[in-house]
Amino acid sequence: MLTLRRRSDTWLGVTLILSVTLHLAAFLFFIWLQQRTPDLGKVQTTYYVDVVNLPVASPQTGSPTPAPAAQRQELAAAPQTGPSAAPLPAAPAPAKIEKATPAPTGKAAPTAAKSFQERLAKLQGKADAEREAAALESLRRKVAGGRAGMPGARGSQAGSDYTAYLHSRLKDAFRETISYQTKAPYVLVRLTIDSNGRIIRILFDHSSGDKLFEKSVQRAILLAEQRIVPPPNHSTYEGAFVFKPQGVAQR
Amino acid sequence: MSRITALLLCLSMLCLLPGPAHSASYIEVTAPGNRQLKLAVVPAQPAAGAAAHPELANEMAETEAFDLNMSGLFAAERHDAAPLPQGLGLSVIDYVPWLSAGYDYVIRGEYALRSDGLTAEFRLFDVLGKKQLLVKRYIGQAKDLRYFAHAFCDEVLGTLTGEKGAFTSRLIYVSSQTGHKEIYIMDWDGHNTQQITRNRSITISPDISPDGREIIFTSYKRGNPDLYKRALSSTVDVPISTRRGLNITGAWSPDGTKIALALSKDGNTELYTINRDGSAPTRLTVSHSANVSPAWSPDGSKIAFVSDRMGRPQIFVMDANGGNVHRLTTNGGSNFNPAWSPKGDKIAYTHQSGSFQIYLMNADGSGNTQLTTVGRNERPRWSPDGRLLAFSSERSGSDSIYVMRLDGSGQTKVSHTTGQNIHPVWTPRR
Repeated sequence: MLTLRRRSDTWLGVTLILSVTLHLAAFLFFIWLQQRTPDLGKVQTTYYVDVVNLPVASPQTGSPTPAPAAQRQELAAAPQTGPSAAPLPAAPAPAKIEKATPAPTGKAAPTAAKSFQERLAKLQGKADAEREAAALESLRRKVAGGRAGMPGARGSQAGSDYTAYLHSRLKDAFRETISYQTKAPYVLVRLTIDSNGRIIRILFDHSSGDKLFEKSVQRAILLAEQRIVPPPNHSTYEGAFVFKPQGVAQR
Repeated sequence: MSRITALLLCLSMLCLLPGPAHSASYIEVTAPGNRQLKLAVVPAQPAAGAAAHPELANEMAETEAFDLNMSGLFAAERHDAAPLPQGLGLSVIDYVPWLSAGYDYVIRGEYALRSDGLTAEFRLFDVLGKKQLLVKRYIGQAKDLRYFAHAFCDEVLGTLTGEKGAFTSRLIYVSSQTGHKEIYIMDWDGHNTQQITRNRSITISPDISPDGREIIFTSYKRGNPDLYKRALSSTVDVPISTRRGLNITGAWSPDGTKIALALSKDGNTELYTINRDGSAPTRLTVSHSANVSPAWSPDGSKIAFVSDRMGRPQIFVMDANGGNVHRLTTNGGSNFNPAWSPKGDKIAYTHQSGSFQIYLMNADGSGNTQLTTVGRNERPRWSPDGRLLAFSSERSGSDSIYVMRLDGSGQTKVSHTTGQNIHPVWTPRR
């Protein structure tokens, strides 16, 4: 026979009270702690700027080079233009902030809008023309008064296209020495030029066999050596050339 | 099978490897024209302790300048200069004045004429390279001074072009200055003329052996045009072909063992080869027309000749045994006197179409080029180096011997004897 036995639990109330008390104490502690901590304000985002590779206005035209003092003054005087020699496409002119005008009413409204657009276009065109003229004038001064050549060069070195320079000197010298006895002579030569501009090696790769022509090529190289300047950056240059009479096809 | 496949694979991999260094791109350096090298010939100075003979020095300098000018490669000129104080051997050449005067090369020399003979030394200097290129010393008699100059010019060409000149060659030719056609010999520039034959008859068509010691010629001294041989050191003519009829236009083979000539012993004039003593005639041509003037190719494998088998005289070529005959000249008119160049690439000949002119063509008959235009010009013959052609011309009245370059330039009369001077032939270099 099932008998229900009534049970009395007095500990539940004690536990509840204890829990509420502890939670309240913790809450109060956090509030107290919050009040003790100073206000740091908004957190700032940190940006890193690469001062070595500064961004340029138009990356395809290369990094801007420092201009001489006189040129800087000129540039400062001139209106702001792009750093490259080639004229940049004109940037859109900042639109003038006009006072807000009440919307026109009646028949006069379209005429006034059209007139406003025309005046705005004229102003933009004028600004563009002035900017272009200033840029051109700046470039003209730069070309007329500035120095051409490699940046930082001392004027005693050839430009970056040393092969073209050497070719020109060889051609001039060859004009003074050319002599041959066969129909279509040619000589393939490799030249090595040291950092002082001296030809330290002449290697004849191949020849059509005309000894007189070979000698004229040797003499041309000898003559050119007296007139050439050292390769750029004090480097050693090696180039390959084919010598032949003008208008004669190589077989 | 797998090994073969592996081998093929390796080979194909090798093919894919980059080429040698010289396959790199070459930058073209060109210049217009073909410049003549400017060369100064300074008259030689007397050697230390030797007497001065300016006439000798001048003659040597002018001989050198003439030779080098005729080569076509140089603009050579005699140029007086102060003698070197310490002689040629010890003095240092100052190149600057020569360089500023635009000269490429300078020839200087010194000589000593003593009782025992003439000694001459010549030197070639490269003005731009500031160096000495050539030194030669010659010892002989006073009469050899022109030979010394010619020999040095041969060496100059050898040094600068890789092929010696032929200025020590001489010219054999037929002259009628005594009233009879006799054979003479002279330096290539017309000096030192000597008479060889004294047959008091008609002597024509000389040719010289490859070693330069013997000549052959046709003479009518016994009535019939027979072929004779003579050593240049002898005065005796040796008959080598006295067959009935014509024994004409003899030509020595390049190896000197055979002689090609035209014989009419069987009626028609045909080409034969005989041994150098005249024995063993071998017939080369068979036709019903005249075949004359054989000219050996330098390698002895072919013979060019003249035949009128197609009407007018034309130049044909055949193998040395008579086979494989084909016609070379097709430019109309008559063509005769073929002469094969020493390199075998060209044939010079006489073309007659109204006037007689010297022409040049490739050995295959292509590329005809006219070289002469004035007067009647015949019988071209090549110098041993192939740079010059000698021929006879009557442009100045009577026939004379002339020399020109291969492009027809520099036509210069070199024979100075009277009468008719024809049939020039170059001797080998001395």
